Amino acid sequence: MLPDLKEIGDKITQNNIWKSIFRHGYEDTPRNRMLQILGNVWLHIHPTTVTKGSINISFTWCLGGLTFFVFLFETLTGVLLMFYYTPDVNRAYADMLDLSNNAIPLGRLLRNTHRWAGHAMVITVCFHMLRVFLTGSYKAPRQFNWVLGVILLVLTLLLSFTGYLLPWDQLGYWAITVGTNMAGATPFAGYQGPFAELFGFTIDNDIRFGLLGGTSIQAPALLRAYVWHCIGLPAMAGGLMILHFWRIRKDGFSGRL
Amino acid sequence: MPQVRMETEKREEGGIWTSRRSFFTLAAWGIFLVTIGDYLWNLLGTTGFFFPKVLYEPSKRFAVGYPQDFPDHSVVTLKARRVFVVREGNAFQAISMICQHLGCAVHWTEEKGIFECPCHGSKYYKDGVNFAGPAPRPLYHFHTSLSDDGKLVIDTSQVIERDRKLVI
Repeated sequence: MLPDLKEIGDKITQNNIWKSIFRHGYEDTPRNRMLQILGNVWLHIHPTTVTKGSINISFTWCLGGLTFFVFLFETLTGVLLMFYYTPDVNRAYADMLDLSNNAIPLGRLLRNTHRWAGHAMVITVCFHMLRVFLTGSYKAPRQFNWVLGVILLVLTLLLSFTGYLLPWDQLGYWAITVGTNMAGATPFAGYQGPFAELFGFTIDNDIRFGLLGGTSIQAPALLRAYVWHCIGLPAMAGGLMILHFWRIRKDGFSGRL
Repeated sequence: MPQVRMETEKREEGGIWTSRRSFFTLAAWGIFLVTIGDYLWNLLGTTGFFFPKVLYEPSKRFAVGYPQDFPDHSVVTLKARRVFVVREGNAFQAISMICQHLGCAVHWTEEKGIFECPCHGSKYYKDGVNFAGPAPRPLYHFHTSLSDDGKLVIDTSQVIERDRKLVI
């Protein structure tokens, strides 16, 4: 007896998880095609219609907004730091010291504000999450935006983590040692974790190796942290932020902003 | 002249399980997705892009000097190699500096005669056995041997039992 495909399809699409991501079905009509273009976040970041409540900023918790502001600040200062920082084991620490000792005009201000804003972003993200939790704003129809938010939290923590190694000092080195050893204890995927032998993971092919580009923290680890920190993670976070904000505009705020 | 009979294609109910055309469509998608999946695994899997085939890392087997260079009843710290050389009379042991908790470097505290980890406070006896802190197991002991020119050679790729010593 072959399974009924329609029944399987219904099982996949007729539930809360699917419906929180895709609100309704799609009927292929000329009108809907037009609406699809107008409503496409990648083509129109600003929605065609916005409710009045969505742009009212008189009562501002605005912790998400603050987080976004800090992210933009990090992008700006980060790009400026890239002009003077080399992700090379022989130069990274010296470059960081040059910046800190004002060998470059405004260098100390740039580096220190980038570092403090990094801490601030983690803090504001956590407070934002706490606010959303306390006001119950994660409930329907906003469940999917909560999921996006959780992914953004993880990306924020990863940005913070990868940035930690870049000064190539003792603090960062041992923080990354500890952090990646934790990754090495991941079930199934880390060489020290449970069930590692199931897929034949050892120190030179597990998830920790993938993060470090080697079995210990050497030059490849610094380069990987740098590329993920400057390109990979910000790009992912930026893309998800667009979706995150768009869903807020579409759903409206749960209460007063 | 033969008469051509036009008949509408008989549509069978039951979706792809009975329709030949849909079956091939589904089969083609299946092959396509499996191929893409295979390429992605080769690209991003554990033998893919993020896992280099050649590593430029320090050798796991190295000479650390002549046995007489290590004072009797001492623990010598070889920081760059991440290893302690422990000498008791004519017996030598190589103990790993890597803490078994989360991989920090432990240090030898001469006054107390124990190894201590600065990160989370794990403590080990002189023989590498853990007795305090979060460390789950003793420090690794590495294989030691003598090279042809009489130098002490440590191989960190070979972990040996705690009671094995190189006696010279």
